[in-house]
Amino acid sequence: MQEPTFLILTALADEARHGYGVMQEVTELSSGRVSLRPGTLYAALDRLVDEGLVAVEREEVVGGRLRRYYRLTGAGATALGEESARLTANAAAARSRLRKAGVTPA
Amino acid sequence: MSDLALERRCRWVARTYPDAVRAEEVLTTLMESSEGRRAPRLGDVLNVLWHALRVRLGSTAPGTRFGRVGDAASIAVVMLGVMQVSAAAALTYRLYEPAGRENPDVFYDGSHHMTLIFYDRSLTYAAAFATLLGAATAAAACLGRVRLARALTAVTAVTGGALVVLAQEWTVDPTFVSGWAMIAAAISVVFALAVLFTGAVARATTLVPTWWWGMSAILCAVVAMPTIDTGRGPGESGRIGVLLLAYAFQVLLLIVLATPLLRTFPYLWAGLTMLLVPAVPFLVIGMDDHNTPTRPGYVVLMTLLMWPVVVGTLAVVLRIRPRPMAGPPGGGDG
Repeated sequence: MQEPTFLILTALADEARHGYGVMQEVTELSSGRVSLRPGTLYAALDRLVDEGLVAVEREEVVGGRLRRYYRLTGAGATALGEESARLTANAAAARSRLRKAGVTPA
Repeated sequence: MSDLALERRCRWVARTYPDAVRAEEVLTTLMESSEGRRAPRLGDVLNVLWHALRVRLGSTAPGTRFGRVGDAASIAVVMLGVMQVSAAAALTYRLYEPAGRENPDVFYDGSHHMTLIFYDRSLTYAAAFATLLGAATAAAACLGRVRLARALTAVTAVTGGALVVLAQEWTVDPTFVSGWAMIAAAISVVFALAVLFTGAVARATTLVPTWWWGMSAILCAVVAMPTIDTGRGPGESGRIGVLLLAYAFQVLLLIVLATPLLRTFPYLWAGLTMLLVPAVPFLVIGMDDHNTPTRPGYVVLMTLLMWPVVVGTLAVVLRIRPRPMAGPPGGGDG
């Protein structure tokens, strides 16, 4: 799973968000390191919807503008959980090796 | 700059999406991410335009692996095989052309008329470079598994193939040019039909696997090399061997083209290929009997050009559907 995909799924883990909300959340989650552009976001959302990891929850019109909210599906939550576990295991392995080498991980 | 002006600009960008609801959604996101600015960021605009283009190109028929352009590209690839074979026929025809013979129908005898030599060589080089470009794009498509690149590959390669044929015939007999122009028009029509209709005609040809593109890149490059040389008159030493080599590779290309199709429609495609391959020498014989607009070569060639259409129609009638292809790893494409 690529990092932007992981971050999008993470952004949707606790609540449904609209496009700009996801963009803001991804920026915050990555401490400003990952900044999604609209086209990239919607390409990723389309793919995730096709894969059944994300679904459209509702549409709202706020101030004459359409907002579509996306939520994580059960399959999406499972995929995110598995990816998190994989990353955690990899990170633990890396830290362990670094400690053996006498390097203190940051 | 007022919010209205910002909205107008964002709306202009968002309208590139084919889906009206998505366009409104993108408009909202663009507006929100451009808050406090006079216009959306250029990077955002380009990013949205690029994605909208991909959406438009990739709008797929149900159950198909590729988008409309991808479908059309697959048809065009089949066309490429046909054009390459016809180019081989034209090359072979020129082998039969006696150097310097006096014939009012022969426009260029290989030794004079510098203007015609210029046109001849220009067309030939244009064709060769187009084919090479197609080969390069095919290689990129193979490596990157990029859908748009596949489409460009096919279009470029077919254009190259058509130009090769045109270049072969231009110097032999000017009346041939109109015939080839008609063929080029027929290709364009078929291609346009494929783009417009994403039905079974398209589905029947969305069967070209990725490995094929790599092989086609190599073959296109090999084929293009000897065709660079065809601007000169016949009878040069060593030329026959080169042309025969080109011919052999072009036939091989056709066989490679037919292979993935055979995998899915074994009986249908086998039958058509069996019809197609024996048609090649017939085509050559037809070409040799030049100056006759209704010569059999034209009839055969026109029939071959309609090959994908015939197959597509049969697929509609018989309700044949190809197997879905496996997607690229990671789901990324485009």
